[in-house]
Amino acid sequence: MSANPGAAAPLYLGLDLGSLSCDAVLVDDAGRVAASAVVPTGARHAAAMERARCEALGAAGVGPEAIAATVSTGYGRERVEGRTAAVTEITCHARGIAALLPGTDVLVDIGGQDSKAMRLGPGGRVVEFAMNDKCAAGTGRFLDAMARAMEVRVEDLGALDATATGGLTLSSMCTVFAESEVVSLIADGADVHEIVRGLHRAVAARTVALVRRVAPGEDLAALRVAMSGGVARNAGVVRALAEALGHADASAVSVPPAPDTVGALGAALIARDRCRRSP
Amino acid sequence: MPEPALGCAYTPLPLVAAAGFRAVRVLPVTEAPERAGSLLHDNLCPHVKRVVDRALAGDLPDLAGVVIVPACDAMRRLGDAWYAARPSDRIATFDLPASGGEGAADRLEGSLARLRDVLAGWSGRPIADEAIRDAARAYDALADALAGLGALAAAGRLPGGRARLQEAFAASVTLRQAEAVAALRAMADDALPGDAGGPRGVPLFVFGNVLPLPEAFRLIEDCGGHVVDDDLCTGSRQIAPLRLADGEDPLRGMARSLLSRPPCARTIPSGSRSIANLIVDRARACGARGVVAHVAKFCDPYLARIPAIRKGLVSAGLPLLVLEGDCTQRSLGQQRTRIEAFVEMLGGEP
Repeated sequence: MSANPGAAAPLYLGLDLGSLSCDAVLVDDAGRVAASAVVPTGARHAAAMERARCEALGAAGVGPEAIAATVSTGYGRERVEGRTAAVTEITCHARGIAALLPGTDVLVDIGGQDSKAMRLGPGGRVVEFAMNDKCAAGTGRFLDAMARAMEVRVEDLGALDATATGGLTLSSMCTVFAESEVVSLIADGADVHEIVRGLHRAVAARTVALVRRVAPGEDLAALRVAMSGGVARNAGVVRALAEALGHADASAVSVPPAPDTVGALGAALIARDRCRRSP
Repeated sequence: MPEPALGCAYTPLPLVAAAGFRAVRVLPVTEAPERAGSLLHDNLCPHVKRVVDRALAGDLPDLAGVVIVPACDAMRRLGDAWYAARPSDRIATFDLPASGGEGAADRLEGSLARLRDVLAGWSGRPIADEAIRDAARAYDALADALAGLGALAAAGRLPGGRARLQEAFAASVTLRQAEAVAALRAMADDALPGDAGGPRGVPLFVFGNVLPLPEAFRLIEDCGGHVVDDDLCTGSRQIAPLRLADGEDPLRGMARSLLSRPPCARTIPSGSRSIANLIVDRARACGARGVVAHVAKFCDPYLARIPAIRKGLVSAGLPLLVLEGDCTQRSLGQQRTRIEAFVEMLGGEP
């Protein structure tokens, strides 16, 4: 949760109801972030949404009457009551990254249960997109499951990757089969650091295939690529993605300071834009 | 009289009607359990598998026989699987040339003559040329009624929108022709006045093979799209008018017409126009801002042509969304975010 208590009303709320987390961002008339909150989604969506909204409002130091418009996004976007509009996470992430990192050519968003690549045109407009198909391989849940299998915290995967040498390749990307493979590797005495690096490379390879779909025939190394979604906090995945795109340096893939709230930020900015269009 | 069943848009319906039968297209729409895997490979066209599911479950009317058009490998397997599932059914095959080149009309006329003789055997009476002409006229009336409904749907004047038109397409291949025409005219009578078109979204052109569920079009419209035209074998390509010329041999005329109808991906178009060119032209002509390809999974003829079609559409400034389906409603639900995002990308208000 973060806040800028000096923000003035009216405020615009973006709510991103994802499979793992529910994110809320409040922006003011100038598009500045007034407050944000990230709470676990859990099984009770309505409760998670309300908690995220209340935490953001509390951080901003205002009551619900300050909200001029609400745009919901994420897979639960249609379940948000009182919304002004529901907008897909593809459009919202693109809008958010255009505000945070203007000039981005391709945005990669890896969330809890899906991954997407978006080719952005002038003004951050989506001109092409691709999503993973029907399974959670290469997503946040995939990494969650693998972390559980290795008995490490998912938050620590990036640090574990940092000291790996990169000598191990995983052959499975199906979450179920990969879990079995990871368990077998641990039983065989493989180094957890190397397993983690192998997992991150597998996720990156799958993600680059999405990038190729939205930028066919383009030199991937020449594209300005940014990453959003909770998995972007994992430095190991970011580094593996940069390498898979042809870079030696992980900083070639830009990550905004709060990658998991990019979708909610985009939703909040769209709420503000809508109010401006129809006062 | 029991009906012959069929599974392909190229089946010559007037010939079936001329024999006195009601032709029933076995659409891949069923609540039957998915059991076709016991007869067919897992990675085979879901259209064919759902049709076989219907055969295995007995989810069919009383059949006089089955007409198979072995237009692609999957349709050939349909013939094999049908025989395994219902060995007592009479099966006729109707061969269709892959191209409209020299000799194709002669070959197709021969196929039509063979099918006429088989149908005559099933009905127990010969099929006169005049009966074929009468059926062709009724078929053309059906095609015209569908075209009229299509125009109303495109203009936003058909209550229920493109989903309602899809119900009309299904009626046109499951009811007797006269009943179907009456049903379609009744739908047209419900049309909104010209100045009261319903709410419209972003104009889209949809192409591909099998998309029989009205819910699919309802979903597209719920997502902010407005299907202004299509090139689907369960849509506008399903019934194309014959327009037999006066004095023309009816089988020759049907052969000529079948070869000149809008081609599907298993057919090589006559002349220099490729499938990609034809789809780009259709999409432009109807004023679409974007194009949706809906392809049954594992349909190699379509999937192999998607890159060329995409290239042509990109050159024309028309974005393309490719969706793969398995002829079930569950696969539709997974497409919602893609369709909504595509509509937003095309400028539907986010």
